[in-house]
Amino acid sequence: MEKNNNNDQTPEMGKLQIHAEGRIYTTVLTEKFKNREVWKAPDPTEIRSIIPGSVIDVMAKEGDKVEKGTPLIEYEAMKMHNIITAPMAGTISRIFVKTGDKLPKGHLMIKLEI
Amino acid sequence: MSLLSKKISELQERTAKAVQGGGEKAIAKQIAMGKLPARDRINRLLDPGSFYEYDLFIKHDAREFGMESKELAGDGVVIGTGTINGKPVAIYAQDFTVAGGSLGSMHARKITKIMDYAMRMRIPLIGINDSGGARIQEGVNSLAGYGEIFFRNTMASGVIPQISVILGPCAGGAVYSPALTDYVFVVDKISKMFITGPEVIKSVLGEEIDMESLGGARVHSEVTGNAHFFSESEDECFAQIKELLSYIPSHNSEKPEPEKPKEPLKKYKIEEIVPDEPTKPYDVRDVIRAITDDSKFFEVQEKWAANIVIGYGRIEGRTVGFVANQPLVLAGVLDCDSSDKAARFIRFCDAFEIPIVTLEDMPGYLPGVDQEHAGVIRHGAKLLYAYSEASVPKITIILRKAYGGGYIAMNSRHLRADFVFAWPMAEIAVMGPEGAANIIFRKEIMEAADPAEMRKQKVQEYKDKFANPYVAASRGYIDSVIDPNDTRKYIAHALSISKDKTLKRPVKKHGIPPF
Repeated sequence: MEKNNNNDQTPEMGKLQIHAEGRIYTTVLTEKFKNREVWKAPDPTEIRSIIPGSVIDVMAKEGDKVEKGTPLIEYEAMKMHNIITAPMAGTISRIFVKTGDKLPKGHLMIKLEI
Repeated sequence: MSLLSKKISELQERTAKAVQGGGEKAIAKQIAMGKLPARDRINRLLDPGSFYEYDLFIKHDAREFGMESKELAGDGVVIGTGTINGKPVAIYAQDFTVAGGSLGSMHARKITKIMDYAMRMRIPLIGINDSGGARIQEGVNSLAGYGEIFFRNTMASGVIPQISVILGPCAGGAVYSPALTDYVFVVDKISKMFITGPEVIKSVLGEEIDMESLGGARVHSEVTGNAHFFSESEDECFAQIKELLSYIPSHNSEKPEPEKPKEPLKKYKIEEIVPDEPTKPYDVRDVIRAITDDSKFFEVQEKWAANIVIGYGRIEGRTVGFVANQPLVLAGVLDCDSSDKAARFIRFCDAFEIPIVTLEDMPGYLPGVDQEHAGVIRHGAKLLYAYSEASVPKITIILRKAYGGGYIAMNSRHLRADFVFAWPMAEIAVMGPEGAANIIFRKEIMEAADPAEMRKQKVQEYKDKFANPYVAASRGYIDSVIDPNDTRKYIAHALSISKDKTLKRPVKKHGIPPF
């Protein structure tokens, strides 16, 4: 199966041509598909919020050397105080949040350097 | 040499040739990929010397594209019966060394034959998948073969346990057989499952992804939920299968075999596991271990939707299926994935006569646009459906929080729990104290000279009035408020008296659960 490599060069806007086994299929793309986030491999050195909530305490400082399991942030979500720990050993290269911040899901909180 | 011994030596020669599969070179290649040959896998999984193979001399029936002159040993799949933990099982293993384990019509016929045996004899079916997919040269006959397998998977569902072991590629339509079975086992770096591979994704969408990130063992056990058990090696995987089979019965009209009762280990003390403050998380699996025989808990889908914990343990020797909110992950909220995960497990337990113990500590459903748009209404409904439908003994322990819709969903009295017990620190209410006080006392708080202080006061008032188990106890919605240290005792008693529980259900062809 092959496809013309550029979506923008399709004959009509929002349509995609697929060349398969010598035949050409034209298909419309849904809004949902066009607005989709392109998959990116997760970066294990980026610590992100996995649930909306607020930062109660930041226990780590930039430049700190941490081990796997070192407590970094106390994070309140759904009435629970969770301790976010380092997923691996490394150095804290940047902290993007401070005490009191309300965060959405997926917000970058800490960047580690291995 | 007598005629008989000549015939016997001919049989031995034919057998020796057939069990060579794709030959030395192909076997060496299989081993270089870190994989075992099909028969070795079976022999390691089954009790030593218990395997009997059938259809060894099957010949494929492809007559096109020069296939007629090719010999494919056993047509790329090994089938037979044997025992695990002394109990009979039916098994098939695709042989990647023979034409890449590709599925032709005779290959499929061997698989469906052993599936039919399993159904007729009422024994568990284990399928080891290691195949490049449909045998293109056999065209639609190959597709027909898949269809026959899927149909049998569906018919066998809820009658015999079906286990799929992914020990190699399993791509395209082939993935639907594992998806239709009860438990899927994957091994790191060996298992690969996807509908469309990286090549097609790249050519159609222009997105680049490698096979491991698309459909490797970790992805299916952490992200998609398609797999139930993850392991680092084939041997570890086989040990997991043996352990699973020790908890479940061979078919739906027998109960799991009891073992000798054992006390939980002394090191698991409920009082030390569960913190006093309701905002402190803890690992609910330790509570389960404080309750079960020998503190053993065999967890299912450990890494996926970890905000709910499911798995097996024993109480006084008898198998119990546990469903527990996990305060350690996402505060133990219910969401789309955790509802799906628990609902399917409950239906398996119900189909195979396994009593269900629910440990409840959750703040409710996860709020958010992405959850609502992901269909948390219909996903959450599966949990209600599964609990309501289950007719096995159902016991609920409310540990701490039981708020709102979640309280109803987690096997409440109202969905026909047989027994509901609550710990003294349980909070059973329509919502958390903060939210509730803000609504009920909105006016008082707004008009107060010091709104913050008034809010604090009213939150406390609400807590005193409702955030306890006694309101629910006064209505009979819970049977007993119990000392947490007596939890095992209460569950054991409840199980022993509901041993012969019978329930009549309205006659119907089947229900229509939300999907």
